[in-house]
Amino acid sequence: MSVEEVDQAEVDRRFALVRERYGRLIAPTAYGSVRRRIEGVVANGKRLRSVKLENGIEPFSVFVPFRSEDGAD
Amino acid sequence: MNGLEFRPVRELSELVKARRVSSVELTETFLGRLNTLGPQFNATVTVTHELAKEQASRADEELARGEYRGPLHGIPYGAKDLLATRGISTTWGAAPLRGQVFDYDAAVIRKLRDAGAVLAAKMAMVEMAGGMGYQTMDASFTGPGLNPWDPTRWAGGSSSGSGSAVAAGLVPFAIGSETWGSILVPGSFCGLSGLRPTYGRVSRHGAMALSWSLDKLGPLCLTADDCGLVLEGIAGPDPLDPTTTSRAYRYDGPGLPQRRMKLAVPEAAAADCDDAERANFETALAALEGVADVTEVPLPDYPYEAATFIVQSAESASALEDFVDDGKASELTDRSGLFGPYAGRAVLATEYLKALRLRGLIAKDIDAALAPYDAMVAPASGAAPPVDGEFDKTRRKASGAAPPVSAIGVLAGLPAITVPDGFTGEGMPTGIQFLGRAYAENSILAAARLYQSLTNWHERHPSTLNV
Repeated sequence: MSVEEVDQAEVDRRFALVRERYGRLIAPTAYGSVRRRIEGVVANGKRLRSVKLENGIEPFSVFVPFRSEDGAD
Repeated sequence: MNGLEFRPVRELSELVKARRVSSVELTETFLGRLNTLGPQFNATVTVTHELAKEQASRADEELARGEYRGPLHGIPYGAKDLLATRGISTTWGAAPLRGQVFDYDAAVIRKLRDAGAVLAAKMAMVEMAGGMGYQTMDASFTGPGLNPWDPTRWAGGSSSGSGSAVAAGLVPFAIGSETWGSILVPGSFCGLSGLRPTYGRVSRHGAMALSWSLDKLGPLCLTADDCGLVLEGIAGPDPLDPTTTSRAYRYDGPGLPQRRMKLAVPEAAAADCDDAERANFETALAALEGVADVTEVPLPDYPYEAATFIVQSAESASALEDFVDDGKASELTDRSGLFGPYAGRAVLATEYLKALRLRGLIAKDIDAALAPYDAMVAPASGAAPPVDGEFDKTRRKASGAAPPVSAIGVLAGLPAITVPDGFTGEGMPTGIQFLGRAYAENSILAAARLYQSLTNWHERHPSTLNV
């Protein structure tokens, strides 16, 4: 997928979010570099969405509820 | 030089055990080389002289009493400077963290101490393990990680010092970490055997977290056999790292396989490599075909790299959030710190979860594809290590082997080892990697040992070293 195929409006929206939160840390001269990286995020997200999964396919992470050994019922 | 510099751990271990060489003598040899040669390659952050001499003396005393701890007893090593060491700075390669000192040892440091190994140095690394992005070789406050085979070229990253130090004979082995390529790439670029264990095989407690579900710790050594010896010393369950497996690990080397091995090679495995890397890989395959059944296999069709990218981006954005929020990224050496950390904040929760859902399918389908084989082989690097002026242009190609194989192994948490398979026309090492099923380190180590029994690439060392 080329950058041209990335939804630029989506890139703009996410860039605006990042700029809103981190504007104090990002020099205006770095805006272009940050935006290009966000294009990469959006492009990779699009690649993932292109794969359709069944509803029951869960994230491959196992969460185990924690209880210390001496916990009371 | 006293002839100890480029001996494998197994040989050094036999000398120390037989008390033909003392651990103190061995340690002083390597401390001397760390002091004189380390700066040529920007390989070290801290040479731990006092601790090393103390641990070496203790090893000799124990050996004199007949208390033998195993093959790492009395052997010096280096640890990537993202492993916490009590009372000794642990900088993560980053200028703003120069003064960071932990009051505990990482699990790997503890295990190696218990095995009798001698910590000789904290090794240089790409700042923040590359988690902020980097565009030049000069991405560490200790300077660019330089390659002993040609100091105008990169040693690889992010375990730069771990790679260059072993290649230059500054330590017999070193511990590196890999999130996506950080053991296999410096291993390949420096002409070493570098093992990325199965995720969860080695405790990550006390190691800098870049991406919790991708980070692994493993050894860089002169031989595949040494990698097995070191892995046995650092593997095992740890209540302080709940992702560690309860499966015990016991290295079954150094012998060669007693049956004909079965190896898979992905279709067009070297298609995107430069000429030398492709030619060396094809020569290596031809050698392996003489002793193993080599079968070309298709890979399941998934967006491996996109999924790995999203997982790493999201997890590192969270893991390093405080560092970034505090404005420390702007103090990093590489100017990518000015813009690199922020894009990860733009990953959506749905994208991260989609990547994790795909990860489950990928793990199962790849396991099924690997099940009939002892290992899958592929190039470990696609091009020679870059020089600084071409760094950003060529790093990706150089670091990525057959593109999906690297991402597959990382995303599915599978073990892989790179071993040298030749040189480019410019005299730079190239590598072949053996990828295995989860917990199949012994299978890939056996395949790598088999390959090293057919070749002598691993017995060659840089001629550029000036003491």
